[in-house]
Amino acid sequence: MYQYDPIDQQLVDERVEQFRDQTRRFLAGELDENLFRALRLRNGLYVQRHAPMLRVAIPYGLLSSTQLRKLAHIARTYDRGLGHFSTRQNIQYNWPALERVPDILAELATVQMHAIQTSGNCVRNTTTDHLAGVAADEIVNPLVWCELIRQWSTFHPEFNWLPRKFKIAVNGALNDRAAVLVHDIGLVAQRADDDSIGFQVIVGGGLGRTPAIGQVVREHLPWQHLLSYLDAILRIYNRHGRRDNMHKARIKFVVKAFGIERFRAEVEEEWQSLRDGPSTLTEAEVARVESRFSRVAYRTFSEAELAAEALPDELPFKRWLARNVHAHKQPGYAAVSLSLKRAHLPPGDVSADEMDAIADLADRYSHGRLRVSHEQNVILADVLRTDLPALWREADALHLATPNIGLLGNIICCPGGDYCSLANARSIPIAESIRARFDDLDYLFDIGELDLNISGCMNACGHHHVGHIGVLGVDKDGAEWYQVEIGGSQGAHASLGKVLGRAFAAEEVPDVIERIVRCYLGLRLADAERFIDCVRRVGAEPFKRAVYDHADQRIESHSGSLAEV
Amino acid sequence: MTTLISASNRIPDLWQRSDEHTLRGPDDARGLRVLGDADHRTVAAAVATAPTAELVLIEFPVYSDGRGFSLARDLRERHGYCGTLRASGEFGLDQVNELFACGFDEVALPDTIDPQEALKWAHPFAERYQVTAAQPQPLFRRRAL
Repeated sequence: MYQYDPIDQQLVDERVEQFRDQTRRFLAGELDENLFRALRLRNGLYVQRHAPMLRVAIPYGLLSSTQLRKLAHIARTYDRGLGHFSTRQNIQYNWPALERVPDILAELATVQMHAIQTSGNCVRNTTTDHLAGVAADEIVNPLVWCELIRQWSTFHPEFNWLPRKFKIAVNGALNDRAAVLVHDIGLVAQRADDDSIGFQVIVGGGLGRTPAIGQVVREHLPWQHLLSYLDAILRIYNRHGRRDNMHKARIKFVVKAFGIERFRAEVEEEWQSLRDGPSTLTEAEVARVESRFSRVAYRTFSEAELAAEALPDELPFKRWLARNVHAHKQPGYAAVSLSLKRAHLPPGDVSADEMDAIADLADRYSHGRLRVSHEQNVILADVLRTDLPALWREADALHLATPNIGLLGNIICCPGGDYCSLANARSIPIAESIRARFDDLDYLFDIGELDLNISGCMNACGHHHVGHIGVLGVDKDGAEWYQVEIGGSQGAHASLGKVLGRAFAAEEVPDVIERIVRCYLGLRLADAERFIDCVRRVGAEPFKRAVYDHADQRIESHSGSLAEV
Repeated sequence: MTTLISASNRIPDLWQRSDEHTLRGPDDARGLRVLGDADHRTVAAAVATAPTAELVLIEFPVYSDGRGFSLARDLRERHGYCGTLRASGEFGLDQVNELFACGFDEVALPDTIDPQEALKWAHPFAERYQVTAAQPQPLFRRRAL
């Protein structure tokens, strides 16, 4: 965790007072509604179907138990006892009263939290690998760089009125868990031959209604130049991004219109005037930020102790170990996902009482530290392996131990039409109907790794383009319909899914998913061939046939009941 | 009727519009009026045309169009423009602080903005992380461990 110094704290406190006055002026009729909208969005405040929605930043996903208890307190005091972890390492409250938002922000500021730039056409919360700093496959710890970017982007006076929103993600591990290829800027922290740190800079990726895979604008940017190079990219974007059509205003459209060669030339040309200027990072600053991150004092274990590990042999534990426990760089430790994908609950939703319980788990098992992931789960990142059985029992009692990470049950899902005023269709009931269909753990494990992502509109908050199976809610003559795509994936080999064909009614969706899954089970070469690998090998045709050729027939669902198609 | 403010005070407007693109100041000084989306190279060249311009007025067409911020910084930092930079047009009270931070010396407030309020909120943050007109060194170069 980065600990604020007095200046960081003062900035957040000042922002509370600024927003308090903006809200006061709006309520007093002194501030134009459109302008207030732009200002409140820059503080994460939307006006939604039922009430305002407040999106609170969890910078690069790190959270302390103290902060989580504060989030629980806010959920109880200002909301309806609920919070929703979003797909961008934020938490959203769906029922706050507009006039009380300044008080919520003041509460957040007491635990070094805020809602700064969680929406609006500005640089948003920087996201990263939820296993940053502990992953066994990590090359560079991205957290320090994320914090440096957070500070650079916070109230950047030049870039608060961009053509459109701007999202930056940083990855520092072999596997990409930060989705750097589908962000406005993706940064891959890497080591050069001389061991010095630098970044591969990727631009122009994104989801939304026109998904795109980012392209490399610079292969290796030495770390000193990180901020000045970001300044140069943002300036080119600010200058050339379209302002006449909000659907074509993201940086990906500039990259596409220019081509990567010209885009690179423009950035490099602008950068020459910024390069080696005052924004050039110093070793002292990197060391200062690093020193403000609290560190876990790991115990060291002898080879004999590690070899003597004795974990329970029972199947439920072994399943949890296989899916929800992740490799840790420190021998004797593990990172543990608490699954927020549960029966009858929207993915990512967590109650105030559960937040308190999770904070207690973090205190007892993980040094009071937690992460939230873009897959909408909570991670305890520094758990002693010897504590795993005890943690499993406690998490299970809290219904947070469903062993579904990486499996079909770990559905990523936006709030959809139940809450969001942008949505074309509801997404939460679709997630629930699919989850219910694939409720059998034996079946789920047999299917193996499969990401299923659902968005309620083409803004793609549920990342449907990069789900192995993606479901998109669309509006057809005022009714809710769902397009299904396959072949998307996140990670280092990110790809965008392709729509199978005509859209389906909500009640058809579980059957469609079932047909796709059965088709895969029939086609896979071995258990080890994952769904996505199979789709890449055989293409979409067999799946299209499986879905559409007998679409008028009922199929027998796995649980044995007959489903109407 | 617009009111002109500096970063700390109301100030008198000593310039008059001659036509769409030029202003006349004291002692016949030359000023330029450009739109926020103007190319910085073109503006820099026009500034340098003799007699050199002593004021550049950047017009913001709508509050949500932030190109004028980048133009101001390019003129100052890339092209070394050290005359007066004035912001005019459509923006809100809460953007005035960003205008000053990006190098504008003066802001012509639209009549929808109360000058007292604008001055009160001209500096909402005692410090900023980034380089600003008032702080040519970013915070990290001035910050203790």
